[in-house]
Amino acid sequence: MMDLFSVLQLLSWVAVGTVLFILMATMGFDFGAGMLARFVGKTDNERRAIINVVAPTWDGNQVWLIIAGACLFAIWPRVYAASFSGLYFGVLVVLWSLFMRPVAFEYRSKIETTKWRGFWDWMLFFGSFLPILILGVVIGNLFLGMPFQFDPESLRFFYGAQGVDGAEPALLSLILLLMPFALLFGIFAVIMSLMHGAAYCAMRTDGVLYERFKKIRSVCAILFILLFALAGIWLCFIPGFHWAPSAVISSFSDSVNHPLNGAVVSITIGGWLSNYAEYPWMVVAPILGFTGAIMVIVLGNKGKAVGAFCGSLVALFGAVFTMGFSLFPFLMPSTLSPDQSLTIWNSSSSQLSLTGILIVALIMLPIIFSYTTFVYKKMWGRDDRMNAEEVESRKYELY
Amino acid sequence: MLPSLLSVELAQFQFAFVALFHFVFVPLTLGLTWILFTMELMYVRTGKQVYKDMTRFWGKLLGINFAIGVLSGLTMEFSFGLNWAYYSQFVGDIFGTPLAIEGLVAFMLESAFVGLFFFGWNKLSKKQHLASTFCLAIGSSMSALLILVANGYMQVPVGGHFVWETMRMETTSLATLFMNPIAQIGFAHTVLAGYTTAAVFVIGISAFFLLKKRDMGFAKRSMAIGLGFGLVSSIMLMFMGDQQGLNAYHNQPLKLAAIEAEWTTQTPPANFNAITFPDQSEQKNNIEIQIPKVLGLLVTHSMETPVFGIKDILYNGYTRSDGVKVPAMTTQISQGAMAYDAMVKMRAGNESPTVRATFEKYKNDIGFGMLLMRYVPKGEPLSSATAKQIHEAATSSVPNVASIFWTFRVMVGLGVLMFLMIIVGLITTIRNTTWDKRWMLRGMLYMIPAPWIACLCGWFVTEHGRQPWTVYNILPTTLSASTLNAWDILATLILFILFYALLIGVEMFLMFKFARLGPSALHTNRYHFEKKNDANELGGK
Repeated sequence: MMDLFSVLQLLSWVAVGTVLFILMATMGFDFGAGMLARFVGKTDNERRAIINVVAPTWDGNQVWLIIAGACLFAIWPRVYAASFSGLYFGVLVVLWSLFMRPVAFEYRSKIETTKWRGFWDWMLFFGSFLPILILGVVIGNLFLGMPFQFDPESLRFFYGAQGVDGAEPALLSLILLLMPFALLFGIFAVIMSLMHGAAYCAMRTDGVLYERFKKIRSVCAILFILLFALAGIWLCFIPGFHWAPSAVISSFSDSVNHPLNGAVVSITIGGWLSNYAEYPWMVVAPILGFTGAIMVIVLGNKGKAVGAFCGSLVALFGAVFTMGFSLFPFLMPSTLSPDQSLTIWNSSSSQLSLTGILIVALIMLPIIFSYTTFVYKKMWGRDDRMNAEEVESRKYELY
Repeated sequence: MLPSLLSVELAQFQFAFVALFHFVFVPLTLGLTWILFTMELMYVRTGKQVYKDMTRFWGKLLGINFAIGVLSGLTMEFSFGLNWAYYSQFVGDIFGTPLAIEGLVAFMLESAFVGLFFFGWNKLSKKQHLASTFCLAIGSSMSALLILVANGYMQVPVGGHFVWETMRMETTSLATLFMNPIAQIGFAHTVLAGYTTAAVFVIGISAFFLLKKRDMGFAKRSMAIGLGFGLVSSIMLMFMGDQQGLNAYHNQPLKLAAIEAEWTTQTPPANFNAITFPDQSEQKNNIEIQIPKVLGLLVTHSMETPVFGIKDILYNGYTRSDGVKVPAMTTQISQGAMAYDAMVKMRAGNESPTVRATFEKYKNDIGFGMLLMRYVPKGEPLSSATAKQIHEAATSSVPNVASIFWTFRVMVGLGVLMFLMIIVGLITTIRNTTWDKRWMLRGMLYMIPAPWIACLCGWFVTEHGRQPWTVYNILPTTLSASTLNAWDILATLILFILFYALLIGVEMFLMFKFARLGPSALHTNRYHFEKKNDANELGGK
C-alpha cells in the first residue's frame, strides 16, 4: 500500500516525464530546424524562411528546457546536484552551445553581409546539434550507470575520483561519456529531432522547401525505427539495475528519503527490460514509438503534413516514456556503489515542496497550453506558409 | 572531504562574474517592456503612427538586449548544479520551488508573448497586440519576483528547518517562504532599479537624437515618456532602498555594520561614515569623515536605537530593540559545534536521548558550527575547537568591509544623481526648453552607464555582504561548492569570460549601430536617414 508521500513521488516522476515530452515536442523541432536551416536552405531567403518558421515561438519553447531544469532542481535536488556537477563538462558544452541560439536568431538578420549571416548559420547549427546530441549521450550513460557515491556523514556527492587530491580533471570524464552505446543514444536523439523538425517545417512551408523537408522527414523516420530497435536489442545485452526495497524500509517516509537508506540494488544482464516483464502494460511506450514513426512515413507519403507531424509527436512520446519506463524507478544509477543509486524514492524533495510544485503545475499547465495555442493560432493561419518570396516581401520585419 | 579553498574561491568568482553579467541585461528588459507598453498604449489611445514607431524602434533595442538576457539567465540556472552541488542538495528542497514556479508562471508567459510582440504586428488586432506587450512586461516582472523569493531565502532563510536524516533543509511553510519580507522588499527594489535603468536609457538615447537634431518629434515624445516613467520609479526606488536598509538592520545586522564600516557600537543616534578607509585586519577605520547622527536616523528611523558594531556582534552579543538578546557569534559557533557533533552521532546510529537533546537544543546554530570545519582538523569533533579557532572563525565571518562600503556609496550616489537629472529634465521639459540646452542633453547621454554601474554595485553589496554564507547563518559558502578540481573551474571560468566577452562585444556593436540609426532602422520611409523632410514625420495616422 502506498502512502501519500510515495504517491506524490510517483506523480512528480510523471510530471517530469511530461515536461520532458513537451520539451522534445516543442524545442525538438526548433533543434531540428536549426540543424537543417544551413543545409536545406540554398539561398539566404530560403534559410531565412526556415528560420522564420520557428522564429515566433522558439523563445517560449526554450522555456521548457528551463522548466525541466528547474523541476529537476525542485523535485529531485540530489539528482540535479549530482548530474550537473558530475557530468560537469558535458553540461557546460550543452550550455555553451545553447548560448548560440538566441543570438543567432536575433542577430543574424541585423546585418546583410554574407560573412555575417554565414557565421550565424553555423552557430545555429552547432547550437542545435550539440545540445541534443549530448542530451542523448547523457541518457545513454544513465543506462550504463555512473561512477559516484555519497559521503555518509555529510551526504556530499563524489563523482569518480573527483575532488580527491591529485585527481584527474573532470574534462576526462566528458570523454569517458562517449561510449559506443551512449553515442547510439546521442545519434538517436539527433535523428529524432531532425525528423520532428522536418515534419514541422514541412507543415509550415510550401514549394521547393516543402519538397525537401518531405524527403528528410521520411528518411529520418526510417532511421528512427532502425535506431530505436537497435537500442532496444542492445539493452538486452548490457547489465541493468534492479531495485528491491530492503527490510529496512518498512514504509516510505521522509526518514528514508536519502541514498543511504539501505535499499538493495542488483545488477543483471538485460535487467533494464525487467520492468516490461513485471508491468506488461509498459510495452505501450515502445509500441507508440514505432507506430508514430510509421505514421510519419505513411501519412507523409499521402501528403498529409499535419498528420505526419502528429505521428512524429506520437513517436517522441513513445521514445521519451520508453526511456522512463525502462529506467524506472532509477534516475541515476551508480556503478561505484549501486545501493546508493538515485531513485525516485530516495532523492525527491519533501512532501510539502512536492505538493506545492504539483499544485502549481496542475494549475499552470492548462493556462500555458491555452495561451500557447493562442500564440500558434495567431501566428499561423490555416493557409499561412513560409517561403523565400514571403521573406523577400517582409524582409525588414522578419528574422 | 571538502572542496579545496582555491576551488571554492574560483567558483565564487565564476558565480559573481556570470551573475553580474546576467544583470547587465535584466534591468533593461524589466523596465523597457513597461515603457514599450506605455508607448503602445498611447498608440492605441491616440492612433498616432509615431507611437507605433516608437514601440517598434525601442522594441528593436529590447530584442538585442533580450537575446543575451535569455542565454545568460540559462547559465544562472545551470550554475547552482555545476559549481554549487552541495548547496543545491542542501537547500534545493526550498530554493528549487520558487525557481520551478518562476518557469511555469512567469518566464513562460514572457517568452511566449515576446514572439507575438515582434512578429504579431500584422497578425493581431491593436488591442491584442497591446495585451501581448502587457504579458511580456508583467511576465518579466513576475519572473523577478520569484527569483527574489529564492534569493530572499539565501538572505533571510524562513519557512524551512534542518532535517538530520536527509541532511538538508526542508520546507515547513511555503507561505512563509513566499511572503518573506526581504524578498518582497528586494523584489520592489530590484524591479524599480530596472525601471529606472530603462528610463535613463531611453532619456539618454533620445537626448542623442536631439543633440544631432534628428527625428525631433520622435525623440521628444520618447524622452517625455522616459522622464515621466523615470520620475515615478526613481522616487519609489529610493523609498524601497530605505526599506531595504531597515530590513538589513533587523535581519542581517552584521552585513549592515559592514556596509557602514561600523566596527564599534556608537551611542545612538550613530554618526554616518561618509568617507573612510576601513582596515579589516585591525578592525578599525582610518580617516573618518562623518556626518553626525545620520546613520542612526537612516537605518533605525529613531533617535534612541543603537546600530550594532561588528565587534559587538562577533564577540560580545547585543540586545535587539525588541528585547531579544542575541549571543555573540563566538557563542553561537560553539553551540553549533555541539549540535553538529550530536548530529554526527545520530547519523551513525546513536539513539541516546542526551545526544538527541543536545542536538535539539542547539540545532538552530548548526550552521555556525559548520564554520569551524575549515579550522578543526578532519576526523576530530567540531566541539574540540580551541577558543582561538572559534575566535578566528568568527572574525573571518565579516565580509570585506572596504569593498562593500564603497560599492554601496557608489550605488547611492549614482541613484541620487539620476534622480536629480530626471527632476531637472522634467522641469525644463515642462518649460519646453530641454531641447535647446545642449549641456543638459549631453549630460543625459553620458548618464546612460550610471544605472548599470549602480545596479551591479547594489548586487555586489547584497551578495558579497552575505558572505561567508550562501544561506545566511545556515550554510557556509566554503561548504556549498561542488567537490571539483580547481583547474576545471579555472578552465570554465576562462571560457565563460571568453564567450561573454565575444557576446557582449557583438551586442554592444549592434546596440550602438541601431541606437545611432534611430527610427530609420524601421525602414518606414518616415525618418531622417531615409527622408530628409522632418515635417511630415508626425503626419501619419
